[in-house]
Amino acid sequence: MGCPPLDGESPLARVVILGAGIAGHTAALHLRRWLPKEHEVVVVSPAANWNWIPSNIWVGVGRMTTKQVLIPLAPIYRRKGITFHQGLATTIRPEGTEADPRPSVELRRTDAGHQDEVVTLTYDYLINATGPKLNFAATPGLGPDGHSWSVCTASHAQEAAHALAEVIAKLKRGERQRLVIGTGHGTCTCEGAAFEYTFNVEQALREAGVRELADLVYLTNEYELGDFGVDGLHFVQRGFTQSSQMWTESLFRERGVQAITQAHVHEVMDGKLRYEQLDGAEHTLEFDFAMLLPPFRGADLTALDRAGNDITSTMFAPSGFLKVDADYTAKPYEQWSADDWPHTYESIAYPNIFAPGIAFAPPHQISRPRTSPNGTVIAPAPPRTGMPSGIMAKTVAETIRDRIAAGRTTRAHGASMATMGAACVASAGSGLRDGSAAAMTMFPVVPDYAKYPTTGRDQKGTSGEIGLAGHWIKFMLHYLFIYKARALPFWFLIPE
Amino acid sequence: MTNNQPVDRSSVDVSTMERIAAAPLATAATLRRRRNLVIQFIRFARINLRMLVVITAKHS
Repeated sequence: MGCPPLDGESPLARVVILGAGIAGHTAALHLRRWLPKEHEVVVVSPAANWNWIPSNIWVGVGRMTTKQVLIPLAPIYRRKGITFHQGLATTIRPEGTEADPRPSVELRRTDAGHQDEVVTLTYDYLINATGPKLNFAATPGLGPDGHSWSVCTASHAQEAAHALAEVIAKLKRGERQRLVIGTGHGTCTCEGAAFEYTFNVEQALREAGVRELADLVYLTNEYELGDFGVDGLHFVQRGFTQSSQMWTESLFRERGVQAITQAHVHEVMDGKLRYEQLDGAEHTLEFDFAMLLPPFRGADLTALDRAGNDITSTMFAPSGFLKVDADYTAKPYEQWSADDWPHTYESIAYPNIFAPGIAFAPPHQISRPRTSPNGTVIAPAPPRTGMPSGIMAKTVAETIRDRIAAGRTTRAHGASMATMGAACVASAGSGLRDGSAAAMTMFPVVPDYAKYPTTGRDQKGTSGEIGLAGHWIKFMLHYLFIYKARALPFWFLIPE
Repeated sequence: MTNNQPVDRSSVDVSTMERIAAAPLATAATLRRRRNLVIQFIRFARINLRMLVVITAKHS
């Protein structure tokens, strides 16, 4: 196995990027900026628009419109000289075929007038930045096609906003309502998004003057509040080392939000859900409105070798995420190491294929995984969205740039989540005078107890505080990142 | 504001609810500080600086 020779075969290189989310779009823009024009950068995305997903929570409460969080990709790529195919990648042939040994990817077009037409693209380098498949099917009844809402896409968030408006109308008529917000499966990630939506809904209810009639329940797979899928945070404040658990619980108390932790949702029914907790006990919870995030899995991609044999399980983990340079040896939590995490995001089978962002298979969770006596896994999956995604994508783009310039054996650049920091701003309400957000930094994202024995993280780089300033930052990031995504002048000066 | 209206406690996580009930509650002064424009403007600058340090200097 391996990639075909680039040198000598063609002086030109084609880099194909699957996906135009934060990772894919970042990689495409940097590569186009760095590579001479004779090399081709191609983006394949099933969606016509780029979505600034962190602001979907504001769409979900009616504070923003979908237009404010979506920008059309085609004009940007036309202006920058990036080839754009609107389509869904279905098959990777990393060794090509018997007839054509060049590696290739097959896609099904999704643009109007060409639906289901199949296109084959050969490549020299492939970036799989397909992000997550929203796996609503993992929980019966979960999602907008079932009995709960979602804010994972702009259109989902818009639907959630309409449903929320109906609930508020009922509250105004004096009808008590229960709103349940959280995770719809024991292995979900992005608990921060559910947290944000909870407190933005709480603010919307207060502003509508109906808060006292609404029961707001946060339902999560986290072992304790403030875990956020990163095993929680510890930071120094006012002379004490505080935990994100205490900090979060304080906010729940202040805003009167109820919480259910350690929960795996088995089924969502009309106005009712059934969940199990880590002690094995099953419960039902009735609701009038539920926004529950789905678990993620990798995009549905099939990999075939040159003879046409299915090698999907060689390239991809059972979760559908691409296996990269991580240590996938199964080991208990106590033996997890920062070194388990990938640095280069190169495929273990084909070094000309990379998977930055959500598309790479993590070696394990970050939070301690737990299982109920019934064998139900209740363990937050590791978040790898947003800023880390952008950094990984830029790192992969640097590797490809150098290899195109100096040859395929050029050393890859590295950016492990165990050596990178992250900033996370979790909105707790919007408004330039009365908004609020929890602004957190952590370094590194993946705790390294060998280097930082006390808390796993550098106390100087790990912090958290709540206030209006956090909202201003989140609001500023909305406009900064949309500016950057539009590739307007000096966009590259804005950090990932 | 605090909404102490209990939901059906048989269907929610009692131990988590008890932890929340025992969590430190921000004082009125803290809540005012969190919205004070002058204080928050200073915090805004500090948090931005801290974020830049974490995501650029540390990473590179």
